[in-house]
Amino acid sequence: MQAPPETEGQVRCLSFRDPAGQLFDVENKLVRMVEPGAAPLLQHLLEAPTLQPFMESGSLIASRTLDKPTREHFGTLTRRPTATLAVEHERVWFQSFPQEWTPSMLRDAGDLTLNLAETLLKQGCGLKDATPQNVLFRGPIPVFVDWLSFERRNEKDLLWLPYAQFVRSFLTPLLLVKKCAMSLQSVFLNHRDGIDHDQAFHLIPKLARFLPPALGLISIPHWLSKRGKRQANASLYTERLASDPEIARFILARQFRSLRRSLHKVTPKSVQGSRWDRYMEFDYPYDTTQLAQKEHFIRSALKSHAAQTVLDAGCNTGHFSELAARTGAKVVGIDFDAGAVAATYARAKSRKLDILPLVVNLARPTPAVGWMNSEQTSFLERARGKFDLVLMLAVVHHLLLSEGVSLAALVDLMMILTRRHIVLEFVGPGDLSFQHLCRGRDFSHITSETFEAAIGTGFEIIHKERVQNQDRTLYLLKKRH
Amino acid sequence: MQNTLLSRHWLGVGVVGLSFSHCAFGYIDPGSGHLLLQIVMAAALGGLFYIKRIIRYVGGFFSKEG
Repeated sequence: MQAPPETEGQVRCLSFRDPAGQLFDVENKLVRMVEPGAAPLLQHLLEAPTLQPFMESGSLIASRTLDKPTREHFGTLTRRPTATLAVEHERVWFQSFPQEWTPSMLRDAGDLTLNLAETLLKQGCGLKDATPQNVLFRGPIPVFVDWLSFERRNEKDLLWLPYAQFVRSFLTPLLLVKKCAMSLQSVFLNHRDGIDHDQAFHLIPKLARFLPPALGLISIPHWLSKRGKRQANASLYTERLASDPEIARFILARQFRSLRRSLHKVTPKSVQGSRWDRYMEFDYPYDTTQLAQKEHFIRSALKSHAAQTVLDAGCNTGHFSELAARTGAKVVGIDFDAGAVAATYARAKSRKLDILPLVVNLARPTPAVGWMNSEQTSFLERARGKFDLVLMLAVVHHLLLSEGVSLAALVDLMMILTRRHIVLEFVGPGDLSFQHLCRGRDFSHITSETFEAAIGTGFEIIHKERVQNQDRTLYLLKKRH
Repeated sequence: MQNTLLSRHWLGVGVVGLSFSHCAFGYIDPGSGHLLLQIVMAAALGGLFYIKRIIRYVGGFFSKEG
């Protein structure tokens, strides 16, 4: 994270809730300072073979124990002298949060969480929480990052305490997307820990409340909670133990299986209301020659300037993100249309491309949210200084016309997004798409000439090429420092 | 031996759902409705566990006879 919630020299505190330890960004390392109660199990799991397959496949963040002098050094820097273990974690290159994911990404994060819970169960351990906040994405691969989620279980314990958290932060948001056409963005920007059954009950259509899966996930718990409220005593929240660990394992394994079935059942197959998820197939205004010209321009720019990190702003279904990824770059693709981003995610996953697709509206990028507005940093904070090259293909006219942003403000944004270069496709006033967005308004001040004059304040035009028979121009721009 | 084991497990069915003294860890909200639902499901699944065990026991008994 870039905005420091708690800064003291080079120290930034990145976690705020778990009493077992805290995560710090200190001296350019991600270090978890672990309190004595949690240290022995974490030390054991780091060395035991149980979780090695997850680490080898990249679905659990690689971590190593720091030696005693280093631990004491960091203990002083972070003001955590009581910590008896310090663990350094590998850094995921670009952080993303559930409010930027597609339903399919949330499903995959949930699958990973259940996989870990099932694996740990056989070893007498478990997860003490089950939230999408414990998962990041490396390209299209979910990575579990919170080693302090692992806990030693009482092997006779029949209950999985994070069950409710799993339902409210994975299953209910997906169900609301499916049944109520809500977006994950609106759910997670307003509800860090998901939506509980009492709230969800009133959001779900009346008939759906009485049918699975809403009946078991939302309605029955909602009715039962009324009884719980009447009881309202601590006896509800005590451990329930079986006479034999085998019974407890049997019960929990069945519950994990049932949660996994529900997870796949509530994930919508497509995102309702998407206007752009089939754009390349049916509405793309380029013929094959023009498309080849555009692809050649972009590929040359990526290769000649050896871009290692690329942001595809307005990635649509990921055609040009794929082109960039195939040159060897790490790509983050953003689009405001969740359906288009879901298609990009499916493409990246099936073709094993290093593309992280995110639902982000460039005109209203994800804000900083959470504790002290620092728990989850804004998209622009995370993007600043990250990308060698930014693709802005046929996206600028949307910002200028639909969002009413000025050319000068557009250049300011472009200066933040890129470290070096931008490949930009300018759609001019002669293009049908431009005219469609005008809707009768006068945008005569936006022309190729005024655009180039504005761009010149922050960028140098390295190369430009008009697309054959179109009022569209491709630019390769270099940032002035 | 098998009979003793089986009767001990039958006693275990009664234990499902009983309360013990440890309080839940205070880090996450375990909910109330889902917790009650889990308790009900645990009791049902506990029953299923013993039914499967009896079937296996009876099946094993007849296969030995055979």
